[in-house]
Amino acid sequence: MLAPKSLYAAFDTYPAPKGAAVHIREFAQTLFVQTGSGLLLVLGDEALPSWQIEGSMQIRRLASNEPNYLKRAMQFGEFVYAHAEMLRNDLQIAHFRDPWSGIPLLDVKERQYKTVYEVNALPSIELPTRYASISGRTCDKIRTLEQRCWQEADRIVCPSQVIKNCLVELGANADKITVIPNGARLVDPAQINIPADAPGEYLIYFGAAQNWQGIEVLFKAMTFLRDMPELKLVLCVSGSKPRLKYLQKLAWRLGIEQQLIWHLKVSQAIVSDWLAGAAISVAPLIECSRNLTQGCCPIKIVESMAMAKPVIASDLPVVRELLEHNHTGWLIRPDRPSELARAIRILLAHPEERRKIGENAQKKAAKSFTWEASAAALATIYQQLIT
Amino acid sequence: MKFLGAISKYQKLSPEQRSFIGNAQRKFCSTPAELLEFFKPMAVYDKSCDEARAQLLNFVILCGVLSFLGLIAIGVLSEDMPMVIPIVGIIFLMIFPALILRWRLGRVDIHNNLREFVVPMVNLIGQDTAAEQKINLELDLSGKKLEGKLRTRTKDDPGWLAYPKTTTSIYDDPWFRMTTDLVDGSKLMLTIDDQITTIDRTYKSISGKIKSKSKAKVKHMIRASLALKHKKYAIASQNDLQSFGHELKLKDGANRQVFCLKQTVKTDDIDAFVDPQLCVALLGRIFMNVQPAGQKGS
Amino acid sequence: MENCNMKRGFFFLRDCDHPAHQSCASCGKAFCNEHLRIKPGASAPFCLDCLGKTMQQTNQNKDKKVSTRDDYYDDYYYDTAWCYGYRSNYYTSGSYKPWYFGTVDADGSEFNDQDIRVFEPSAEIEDPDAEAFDPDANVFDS
Ligand SMILES: [Zn+2]
Ligand SMILES: [Zn+2]
Repeated sequence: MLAPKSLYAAFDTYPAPKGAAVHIREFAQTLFVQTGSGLLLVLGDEALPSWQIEGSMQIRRLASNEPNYLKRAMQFGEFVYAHAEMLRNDLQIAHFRDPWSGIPLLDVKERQYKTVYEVNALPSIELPTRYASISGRTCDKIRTLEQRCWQEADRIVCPSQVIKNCLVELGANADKITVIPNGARLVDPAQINIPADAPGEYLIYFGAAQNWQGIEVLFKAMTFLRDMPELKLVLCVSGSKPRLKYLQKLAWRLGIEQQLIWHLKVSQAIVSDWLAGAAISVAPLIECSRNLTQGCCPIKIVESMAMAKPVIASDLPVVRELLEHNHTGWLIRPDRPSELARAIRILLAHPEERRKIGENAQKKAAKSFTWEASAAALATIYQQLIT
Repeated sequence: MKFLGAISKYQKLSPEQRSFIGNAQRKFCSTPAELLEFFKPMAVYDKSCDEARAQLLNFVILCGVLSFLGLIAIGVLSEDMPMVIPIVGIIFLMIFPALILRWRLGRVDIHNNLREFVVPMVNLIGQDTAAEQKINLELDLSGKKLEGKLRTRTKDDPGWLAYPKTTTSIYDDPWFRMTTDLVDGSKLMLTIDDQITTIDRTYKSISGKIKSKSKAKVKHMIRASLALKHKKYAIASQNDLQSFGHELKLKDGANRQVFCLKQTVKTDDIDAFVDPQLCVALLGRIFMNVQPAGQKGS
Repeated sequence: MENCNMKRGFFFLRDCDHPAHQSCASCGKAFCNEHLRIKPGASAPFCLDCLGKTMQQTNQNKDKKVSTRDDYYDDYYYDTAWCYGYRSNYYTSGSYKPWYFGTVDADGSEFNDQDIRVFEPSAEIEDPDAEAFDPDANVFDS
């Protein structure tokens, strides 16, 4: 097999039932089509092959048993460095999603490739929400790595204006940043077989389970909806074991476990089946610095829109980039369980309204948030870099 | 009565520590903190053991002098004061238990290099290693003149009843090897090889008596090597390093440059310990003369 | 919280990453417990730098035999605390100037143990207030 012409590195498990994995697939494919062949470097686990070839795409996975996040990140860095160093004359473009992969790619001496930094999140902002005891000094070090990435990368792409503003605020050159919103494939829910065991009417939350996603808020909202015993909440979530355990315990303590249907770490296809049958999709993001200053582009919102599902989401700048209240979605103030419960009640009571919002959302998605559009925007950047 | 303190300190040592004092040879691979925890009680014990032995020696000398004076006193006073005889006898008899005790303590003594060199060196190098970094340490503090360490022995014997006769023995004692990784990514190696030369001379003095004399010379050959990462330190050329003089050896590798400095110290005392300052100075000279690598990227 | 003001190391100095606990009775700066010692007969702790300097002086002034009789001296001499006195003497008496890595790690971009430690899975927050979470709170939030 010929040496790959491009490289896409992400410190993330792939495939996995969460937005990041979809994102990786779509962007990596765009890159590899553009250059003819490519190598995807990601994390794996025991169940996934460490080396896989799919057409013009090679996937190499680092299956690390290292429990320590930072050590694992550094292992991944060495893994990326080894590949990039070997391919430094063959690669045209190296695209990375995080500083753990970015620093080694920038470190390779006499490299012939250009670099694209895809900023979906900044670890210096996101990690303190996961690890409380991180010291300011450690954060500074991580920030230094990020800074090197956005200073030295040839181009930067990010999924939302909020992230772009955040980077510019930090000192990044606005001219090399392009906002490419997350996309989704337009789907007609009627074409999908809703799971046989699906309840009559249900809400859906899907995606990762980090604490900024607001699952706790959603749970509390469910306590206000106990008078509707038929209403279920389907949770297609992935996350760390203790986090998921904690959420299940919380549901039990709130006395809503009867209302919940859990689907842990299920595939994208199954998530999509469940989404197709849902009445409402919920994205109760909380108002924290991660969501406010760093920004994000919740793929769950975009995917719900593409499937013509009405989304109830927190009214945050990142969400407003995607949804317009009472037109393409329903916005509520963040961190207000009772407000969220009321919104759910209103939309459930008005199926016509729900249908209209769903259709508008799908139209909006078709216009602005398709992977085709994202891919085209990304391909333009690659072309500019190659020629 | 320092020997009481020494004995109680010895009794507090673990079986592992006592066995180390017994054979004094061992390879370690432990963190500096673990090494210090192991060595510290032995160092404290060794110090009080040495002090106790010195005190016992003084005691023996004192008793000897007193017994001698006592003998004179017996000659002069015994008729008036018969009590003097048993007192002098007791003082004289005290010499033997003191000598035996001193000899017994000598059997469980360990070379002063342990507390004066090894402990401070582990301590200092441990300051510049990462917290969980292990130190590889090979120690051999067993005697320096063991037959196993003999390299050559030459006898100069001009013949039966002819003098002087000399026997020259050369012993090699590589007693200290330490390697570890420092916090800047450098690899450190410190070694000390002792070379002991003993000259035993038997000669006829002018008065015709046969006399023997023994002389020892010790050479401590200290070698300090640092393998510095290119990523961290600029590559030095021989020109940059003229200040080192001739004793510097430079070796270039793919990722590291190795600096090796040697120093030899001579002494006549076979029990002399090596001053940690000597090793520190060698390492310090290397670090003072290298330049950090240029900032990458920006 | 203030960080410990001690600089670790001998050939290379770098900041101690531990949070400070108490102030040194001599220099008044704040240090972590690892870098503070209580002298016998004193009630307030001294930082290892200050302790090291006084111990070096004691060692020079006192007759060696007097100081060696001191058990406290044994504890000090064979302990890491001794290094701090030794290094202050080494830096002032010779030509050696230690490399200072400051807050940046010695090995460039790499992280040190202090950084790594906080990323153990056990340190991951499931929920910062898992126990404080009150199901009945926020009822009147809207
Ligand atoms: Zn102080
Ligand atoms: Zn400290």
